[in-house]
Amino acid sequence: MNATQRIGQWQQQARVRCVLIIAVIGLPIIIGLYFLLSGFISQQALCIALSVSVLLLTLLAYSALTKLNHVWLLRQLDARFPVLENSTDLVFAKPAELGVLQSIQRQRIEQKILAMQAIDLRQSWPWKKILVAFGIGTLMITVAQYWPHQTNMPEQYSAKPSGEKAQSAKAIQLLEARIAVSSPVYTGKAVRSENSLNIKFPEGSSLQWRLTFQPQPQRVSIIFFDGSKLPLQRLGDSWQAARVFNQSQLYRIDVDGMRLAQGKRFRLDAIKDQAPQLRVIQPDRNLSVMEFGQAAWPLSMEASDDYGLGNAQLRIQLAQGNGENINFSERFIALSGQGSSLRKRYTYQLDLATLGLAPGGDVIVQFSVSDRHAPQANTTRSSSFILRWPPEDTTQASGVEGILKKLVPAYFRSQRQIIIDTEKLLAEQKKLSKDVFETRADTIGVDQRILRLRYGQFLGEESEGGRGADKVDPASKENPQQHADEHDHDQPNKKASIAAVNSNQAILEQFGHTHDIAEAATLLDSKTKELLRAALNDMWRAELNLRQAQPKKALPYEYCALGFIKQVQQASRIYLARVGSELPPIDETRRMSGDRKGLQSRNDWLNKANNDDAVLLAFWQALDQATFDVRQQPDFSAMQTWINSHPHRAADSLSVLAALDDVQNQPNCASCVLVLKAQLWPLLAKPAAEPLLRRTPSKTGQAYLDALRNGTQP
Amino acid sequence: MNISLLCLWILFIAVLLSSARLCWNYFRAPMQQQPRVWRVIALIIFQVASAAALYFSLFPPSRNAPAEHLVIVTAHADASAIKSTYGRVIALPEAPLFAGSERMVDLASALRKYPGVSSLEIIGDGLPLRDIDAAQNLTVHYSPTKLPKGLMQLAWSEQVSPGMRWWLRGRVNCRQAISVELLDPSGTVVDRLQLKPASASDVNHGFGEFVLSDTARAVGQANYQLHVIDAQKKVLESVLVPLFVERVKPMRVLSLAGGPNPELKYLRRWASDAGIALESRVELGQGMQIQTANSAISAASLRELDLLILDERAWSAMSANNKSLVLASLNAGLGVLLRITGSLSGSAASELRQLGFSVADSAITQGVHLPEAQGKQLLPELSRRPVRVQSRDGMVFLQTDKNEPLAIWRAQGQGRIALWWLTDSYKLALSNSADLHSQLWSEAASTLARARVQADVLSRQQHLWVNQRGVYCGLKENANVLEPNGQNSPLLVDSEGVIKGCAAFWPRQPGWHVLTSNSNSLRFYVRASAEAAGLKANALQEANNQLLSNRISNSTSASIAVPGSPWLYFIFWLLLSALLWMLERSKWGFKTQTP
Repeated sequence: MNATQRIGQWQQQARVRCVLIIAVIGLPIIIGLYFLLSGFISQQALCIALSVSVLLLTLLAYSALTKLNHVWLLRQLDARFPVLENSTDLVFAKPAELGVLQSIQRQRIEQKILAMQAIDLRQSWPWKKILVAFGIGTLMITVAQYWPHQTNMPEQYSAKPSGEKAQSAKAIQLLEARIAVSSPVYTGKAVRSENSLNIKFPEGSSLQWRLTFQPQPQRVSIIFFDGSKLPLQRLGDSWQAARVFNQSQLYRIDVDGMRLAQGKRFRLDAIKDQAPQLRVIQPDRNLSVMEFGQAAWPLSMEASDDYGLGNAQLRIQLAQGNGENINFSERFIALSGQGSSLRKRYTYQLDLATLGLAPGGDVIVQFSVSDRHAPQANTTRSSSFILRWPPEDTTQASGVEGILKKLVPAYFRSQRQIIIDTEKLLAEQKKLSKDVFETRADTIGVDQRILRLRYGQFLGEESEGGRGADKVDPASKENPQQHADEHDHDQPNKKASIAAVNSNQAILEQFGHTHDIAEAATLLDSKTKELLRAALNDMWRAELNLRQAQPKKALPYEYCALGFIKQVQQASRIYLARVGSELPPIDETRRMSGDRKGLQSRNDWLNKANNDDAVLLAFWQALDQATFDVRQQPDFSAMQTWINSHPHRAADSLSVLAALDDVQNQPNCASCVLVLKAQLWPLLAKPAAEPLLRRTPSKTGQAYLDALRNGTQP
Repeated sequence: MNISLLCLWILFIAVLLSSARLCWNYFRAPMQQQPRVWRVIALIIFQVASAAALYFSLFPPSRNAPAEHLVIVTAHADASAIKSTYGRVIALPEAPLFAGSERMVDLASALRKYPGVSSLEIIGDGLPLRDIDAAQNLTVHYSPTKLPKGLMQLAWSEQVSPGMRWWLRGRVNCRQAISVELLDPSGTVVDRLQLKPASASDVNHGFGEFVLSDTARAVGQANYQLHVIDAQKKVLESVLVPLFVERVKPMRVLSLAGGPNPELKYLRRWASDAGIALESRVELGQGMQIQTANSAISAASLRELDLLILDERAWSAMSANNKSLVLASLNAGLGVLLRITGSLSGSAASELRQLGFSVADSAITQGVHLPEAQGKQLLPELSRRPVRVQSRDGMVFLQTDKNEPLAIWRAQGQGRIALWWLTDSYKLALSNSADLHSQLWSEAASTLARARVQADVLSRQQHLWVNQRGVYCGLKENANVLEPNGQNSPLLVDSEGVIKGCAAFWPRQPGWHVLTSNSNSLRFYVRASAEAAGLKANALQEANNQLLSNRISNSTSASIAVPGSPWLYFIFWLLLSALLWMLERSKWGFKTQTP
């Protein structure tokens, strides 16, 4: 062993001591931290916190170790042992680099070192710090133990025999409780195991209990609130049983005829499989009209489900024909979607030509999508969407205002649009040639005219039909104001030339006037009519100026007209008197005067509405009685049966059952009764209102009434 | 004859007898021994004076004493308020004890101890209800303390039947924008009202008043809650509204119809569902009908009936004899509801005119809407018969949202007759408002039917606190109260006087109580003493404010009569008697002096 190795040994010892000190100080704190946190955070977070703190401790130890390097060693030796004459570094120097003197000195020092007794470079134990660390750790563990956090660790449950046997018999402790949940295959969920007796699970899951007791009971069974019972089998140390649950349940655990944890209830919440959600993206409206030249109809929808989507289908119905002669054909197309199994998007291009859609026909499509629920999949259907190929224009040109008779509504320019057009025209006036400008002004004039005619209808004005919107009447162009005033009274022959011949309407048009159509005129009150008339007058003037290619002059009239129309819209609404169905008076002499063979008077059997709430109502009243007299307990079992047979009446029938159970087990608990009543209240249906009987007046009151009636002084 | 008058007579007779004896002696005595006249007169005067003194020593005349003023310290009194008062300070048991005040068990004791009190100054919350009577004839100075924020008044429908719409009225003492919510026993808000902030002018105009409502459900106790919520959505106060839904006696109704129609169908369905004992006859024409067993009209059957519902066709088809029977029963208390569903014949119109209704066809719109509560669902449009009905003394009991009448009743004899020209209320039942349909008809039936229930025998105090006296009247001897703990406390019923049949009850514990007297029973709720403090304080203040209005007029009179002291008269009588005795024994005033 040379001097270097010897010194190395000393250094090694010091380093080991250093690590030990850090570990002894750090570990209690980490352990305390573990206990403290275990009450608040999850297992995973706890693991992470633990590893982080261990890592930190390691880093701390490492940095402390790096301080105990060569330099530290030499300084320690030189400082502590004057014998070494501040020359310890020579021992570590390379011999080749040393001078003669240095080599001699090095040999001396090495000999001295070898001659020295083993020296202790180790840091002494910092007892104070260690004690403090242990103190902190203990404190943390103590706090964690006594911290009031709820624990659903089933170890705390025990079953004690009640009554006289309590002293002799020993309580049976539940040591471990696990429920393994195997969800139905379609959910795609793995088997999980929970160490709680209250769990939530997908409906149709199979639950397997595994309970361990100390001391070993004779028999264990699970008692459900619907009256059924599930005995557990003993396998080795644990008790096991399994069952499939399609509904939520409450249960108790029965150990050797005793109830575990004073009959504490445990809850099994079955999560219902939701039907898939379906959202149609295209088409965006229920009725679409086929555009000209449209060859295909793009369809798309999006669906989502809680456990995974199954098949998607498109139902196509074709309705062809008109009148009473309509043929339907139906076909189904399976859709395939893109996306995850939880959310998919389906698109389909419906080829109209191969479908055989003809004018006047309708294509009706409906999406449906199912999930994977077994045995019966949940299916959601969308509403129906119709694509209509409008039939060819069936109304013949009768000569009476063709535009208004079209099936597809005419699109009028609004007064505001006319103003916008006019202003645009004025802005562009300089760029445009005179001809173009006049044509455009005239076009706006035509729009204005159509709008005027439309509003004019409300006033019962004659429609200036047959001339077509763009046909300009020379008379109106020359003197429109006069035209308006005179209403073409003296120009019947002109109309005759245009109007259709064999139509009553045309004859009326030809020879008469439809100024005062009572129906139309009485719809509006006089004030509204006044406003409308003012609007029409302004439209007239605007049209006049537009037709004369003077849009600048037309603009103020357009604004005025717009203002009046807005006022009309805001004016009082039009109320139509509803006339009831005025049936002709019954002729009693003719009533039942036909063949009366086999007819006879019969008894009237009035039956009360079928109401199976009697149990509930009786229980509700019995609860009140029970608050006065504990001996008069309501019929709990009947109520329980009723709730079980009406599972959909309550939003959460388990809570109702639980409240019911509380009242049953604690007859003196007033607040339990209130809780139960709060749970039962939503179940009570609003009954038909029962009339109250009037109270008889008192003697004095009756005398007063009699006196009043007889006209005497009371 | 009272004792003082008796004594007066005895004394008078005694004086008379002794005077007579003196006179007798005077005239019978021999001349020599005859006393002088002045001696006899002096003796008589002394006797009268002595008798008078004896009388007054027995019944001393009252004297005028300066009126005394008491300061009564009641609960939550402020020490600073006492400094500004004068007079003797009496502290009632609820009050804090201040220096210089005297503790008394109640006001009546204080008044007995200090007679001559004519005016009281009340400091603090006010006299408790037990002391109100004692202060009845005194002038009371009382400046109410500021009431706490929150609920001040609360009252709800007295009698509630299943399915009935019941009302909750109240007043909140708060100037801010607050809202009130009514919560049903499951904690769901069933009605809500936002109260606007009060301006200064609103203070005296019923600010803070609200009306909430809900539909009653099954028979039994239902603990509703009223929440007063401030602008920050914080619950200021939560007060229990203990509602008891009563089982009602079934009404007996006969329905006559000229033909089947949907209105009739739903009317009959409501009646059978609402537990009404319904008889019904529907004419099908030519003598055919669908009827129940006892639908025939007779004097006896009408007597057993509470309400007769018929349409104008059934009325027209009724024989004259039956009509007169119906009218006689109407005068005897039967309720009659005539539904106008078609045009009235001339004779029917004149018959109605005799019953006080003038019915005329009119060109009014038939489509009507019933008034809707704010924020409720839209009701369907209903139709009415286009008639105008007028009645001099008629009462409208159903109207449209434009306040046009749809039904009018008037009293005829002891009964009530109504015309009803809403023709299709069944649309309510078909449009998810079946409860409204049934409430409409239930209210109509309640208004019209025969008065058959004894007037309410048991008084109803809707608010009662522990240790506060509740008064119940119309009780029989065996009345008792079943308390929440199941204990049965018999009541001591007053058997004579103006409060005959009344009894008081001091509840000991909060909760529902049942008062039973013979076949009648009343269920009432007692609040814990700290519950609904605002209601309690306000009730106390109102009772005290009534005292203020009762004040006697001569509040400025400085003196009051108090019983005088007898001792002075007694000494006087003793002296007079001694003098009289000495005079009798002496020889003064005799004519002849025997040497």
